Amino acid sequence: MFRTRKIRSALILVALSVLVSACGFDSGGSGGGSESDFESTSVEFLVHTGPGGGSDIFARDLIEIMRQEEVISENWPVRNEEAGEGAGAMSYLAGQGDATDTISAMTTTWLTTPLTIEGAEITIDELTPIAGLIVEPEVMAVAADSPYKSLSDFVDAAKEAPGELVQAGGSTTEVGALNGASIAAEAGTDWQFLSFEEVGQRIAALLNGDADMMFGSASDFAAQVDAGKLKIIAAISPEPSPIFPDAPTAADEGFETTLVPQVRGIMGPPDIPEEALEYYQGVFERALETDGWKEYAERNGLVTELRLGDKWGDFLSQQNEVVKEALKGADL
Amino acid sequence: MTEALQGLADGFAAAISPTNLFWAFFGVVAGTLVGVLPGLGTPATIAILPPLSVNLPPAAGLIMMAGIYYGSKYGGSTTSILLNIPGEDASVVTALDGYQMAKEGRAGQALGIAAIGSFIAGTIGLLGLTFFAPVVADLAIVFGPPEYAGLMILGLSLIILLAGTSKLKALIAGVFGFLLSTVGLDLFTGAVRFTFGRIELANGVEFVALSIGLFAIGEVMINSEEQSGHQLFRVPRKMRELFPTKQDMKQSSWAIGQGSIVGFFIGALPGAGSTVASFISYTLAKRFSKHPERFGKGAIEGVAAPEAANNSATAGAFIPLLTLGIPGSASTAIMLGALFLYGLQPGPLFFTENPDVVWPIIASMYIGNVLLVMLNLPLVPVFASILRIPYYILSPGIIVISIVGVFSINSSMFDVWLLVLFGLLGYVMRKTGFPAAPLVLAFVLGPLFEQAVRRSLVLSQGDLSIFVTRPWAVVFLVCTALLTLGPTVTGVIKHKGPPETPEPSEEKEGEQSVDAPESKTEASISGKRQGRV
Amino acid sequence: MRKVDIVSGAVFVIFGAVTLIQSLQLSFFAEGVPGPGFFPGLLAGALMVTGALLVVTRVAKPEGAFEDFAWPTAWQARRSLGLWIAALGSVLLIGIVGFLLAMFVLVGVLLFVIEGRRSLSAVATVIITPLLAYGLFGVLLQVRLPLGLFGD
Repeated sequence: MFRTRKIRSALILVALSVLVSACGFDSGGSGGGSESDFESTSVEFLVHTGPGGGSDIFARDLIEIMRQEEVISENWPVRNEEAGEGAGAMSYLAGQGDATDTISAMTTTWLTTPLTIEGAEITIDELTPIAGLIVEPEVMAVAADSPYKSLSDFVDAAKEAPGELVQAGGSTTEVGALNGASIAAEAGTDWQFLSFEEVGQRIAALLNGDADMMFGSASDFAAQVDAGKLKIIAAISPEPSPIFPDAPTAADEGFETTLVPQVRGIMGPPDIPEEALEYYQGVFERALETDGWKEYAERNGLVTELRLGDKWGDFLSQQNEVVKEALKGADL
Repeated sequence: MTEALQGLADGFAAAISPTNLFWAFFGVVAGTLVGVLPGLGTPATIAILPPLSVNLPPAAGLIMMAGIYYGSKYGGSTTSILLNIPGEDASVVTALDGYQMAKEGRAGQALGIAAIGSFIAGTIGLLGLTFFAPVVADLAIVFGPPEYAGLMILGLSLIILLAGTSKLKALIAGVFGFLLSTVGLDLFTGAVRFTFGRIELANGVEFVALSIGLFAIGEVMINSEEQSGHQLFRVPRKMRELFPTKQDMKQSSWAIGQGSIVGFFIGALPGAGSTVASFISYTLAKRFSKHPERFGKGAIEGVAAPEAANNSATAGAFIPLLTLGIPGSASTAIMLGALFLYGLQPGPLFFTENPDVVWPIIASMYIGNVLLVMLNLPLVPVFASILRIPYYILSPGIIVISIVGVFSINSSMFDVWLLVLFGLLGYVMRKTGFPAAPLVLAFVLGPLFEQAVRRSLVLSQGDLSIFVTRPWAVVFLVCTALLTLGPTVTGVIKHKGPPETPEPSEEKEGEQSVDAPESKTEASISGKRQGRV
Repeated sequence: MRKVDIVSGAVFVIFGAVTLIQSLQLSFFAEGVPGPGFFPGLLAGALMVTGALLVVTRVAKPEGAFEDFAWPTAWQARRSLGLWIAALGSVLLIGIVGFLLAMFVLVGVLLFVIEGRRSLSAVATVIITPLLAYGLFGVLLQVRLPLGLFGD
């Protein structure tokens, strides 16, 4: 009798601990659901690049700003899941079930990867959209002594010599590559795409003349433009870049193709509880209103476009269609 | 020149302020720790620090990050030498001879020369950074895909030099390592290669799991076959015997000089890095050694050259970061991010517009180097005495640290499985006489070579002449031909010059059983290799 | 060593062949330049050629031309392979009972079973080694070590 009771209480204990662990709560203090509890939790902030990668730096900067502006009180450790261009991070996040202490930064890569990489099975639909934060207008850079003064100049030259001009960039499915391919397709011509892992190598290729042009974020080029080594001749986005407002957009130049924007936002696990979702949305809403953020966005040429919950989800599915079209056009 | 001197002087004035000095010290201590512990890489450590540096002025924050960066290269050699666990990517080569030295009871000398070599090379690299940054930056820009391809051919062709008794087996190990490096997503097309549907393999085989498996786990398995009741290695009791002698210094001087220069230039190239620098410097040291046969068996130059190279490479890596605003590695990318966060924009105008930030950072690195050598030399006897611990106690520790170290990189159990698998491979390779060094060398250089070749051919639209029409590419191809095909320069020197270095001890002589009947076949094979590449 | 070389050469030939077949699924050339399958295919071929060369050169020569291959004795194999199996088992255990417990088991097996130690210092090692690793990585470097099914 005594023994069975002991066994039973042990079993209950085991069951309880399994339950608690299944809920994904990390340490003892985070078991509740109210806002003040979330606040004291150290949130695992997932990114899909290694330390020093674009998403990694953005995430760490964002956390830094939120702490300085006292939007959050705890440091949020960043977790790098760099496998497979976002595929690793997406499947990690999908595996978090209804956890409340893991969220992830996402970029347009999260839309292209499931469509292009074999074995990347998780799509954005399986995750919970929390908030869309920014759109990074891409710009077109050429060497300062380049003969091309505008996007049309370059495209015309490409028409003269199809397949000979070179665009520098990252992987063949990154935003710049997709937009390059759609513009080329619209103009009925073609140019080479030269992949480099590091942004530094891409800019070096532009500086030494190996590559003729590159699409990238304004902040990548700013220092070289100031020094007179590069010039920005177009904005590869619907809106002009805040840093280079004089560069005409592709539409200004008469190109009608729908461009894929470089977006950054936040995703949560598939079954994140409603309270947690609201808590995070509140955090990012407040973060984007702080002076620290505004200053940061201005300096880096980012356009703040806050979208919460379903609005963000709808935007993503709409962008997913754009990406699909672009991939079809790029023959990938 | 005078401008640089003036800047440096101002920089020193700022760098010796108590705050900056403290953060430099903090950075190098943290860096040493991260370097000593295997796993958790330098970039990851630098990345978690900005929260600490928020309220610091930009110079102090960067001084700390830079301290971690070059401090970790100092620390990385420690576990490589003592336990055959590469503490850091760039220290893999150091294990080749460093660990053999430790086995001979010369751990102190190996650790000592690593610290001294790192200090000298770090300082030479800093002098280069101070006075020649703009020139080197221009050179780094000129380096396009065909030039990288040439440099990598040079590196890969030296694989043959890493052979033990059989060149053919070294070649097989090299080809296997190269093949292993092709696993994962192809950057150019997005195709997945040999991942067997595992997303964990999409970024390729984790280098740390490979190197620690082959080196550390394989070695523990080999050692476990002997009775391990007592300490495996002799550690001298006398303090004097724990430090490099004058003779050791003399013997290493060329290797340190060569490593400093090679490391500096390779470090300055975006996308090459200190691991590549250490490999190339090691093979060059062996190529030009009067006693190449001692390499891999405890040659002190084999520790001095790669350690020098990976430290001057860190100084070199600051050149594209500070003068061009283009980071060449993950660590420098994080530092660039930190500068952005401070509202600073490194680039061609950085030195003239922000001298108050640039020069204190550079000056602090001179100071940091002095701090590191002062910190590391007294630790040599302490670390060396770790080997006094009986091996049966040490070996479980090596396995546990290897497991947790590999796990810490990507928080991935998959990598730990790889570690165990490569441990067995390392053991079998040792048993069957296949050297591990060519495998890891090809694994590191292979992907850079493949990418460079494919990029070059994209540029030339498939025309192979691109490799022989660009001057630097030609220079590397000629060097490759001279180094591999030409009559051994060292052979000539050996006959002419008097033998400066003492002959290896009798004990070592006994180990060098070269199977003579083989040599003829091997020569013809190395010729074939040349044709293929 | 001769026989061992012949066998290992043959293993590389087979491995190369399998890899070559695998890499045929990747395109060798894409738009006139080397594609994703170019290097893997070439390297797999090179592995077959060099492996075959190893077999041929060894077959052509008498046994006496090589040093003897040192097969591990039964005692040695028990120790080296036992150590490996213990490591393998402990990695399996990490997923179930977490890092710390699995490492206690690993060090315990290595010292008590494989080494056959019974001393106080062995017991101390079993306790201290995993804790030291945990302290360095889990506490100092703040690595989130796996806690296993019963952890959290």
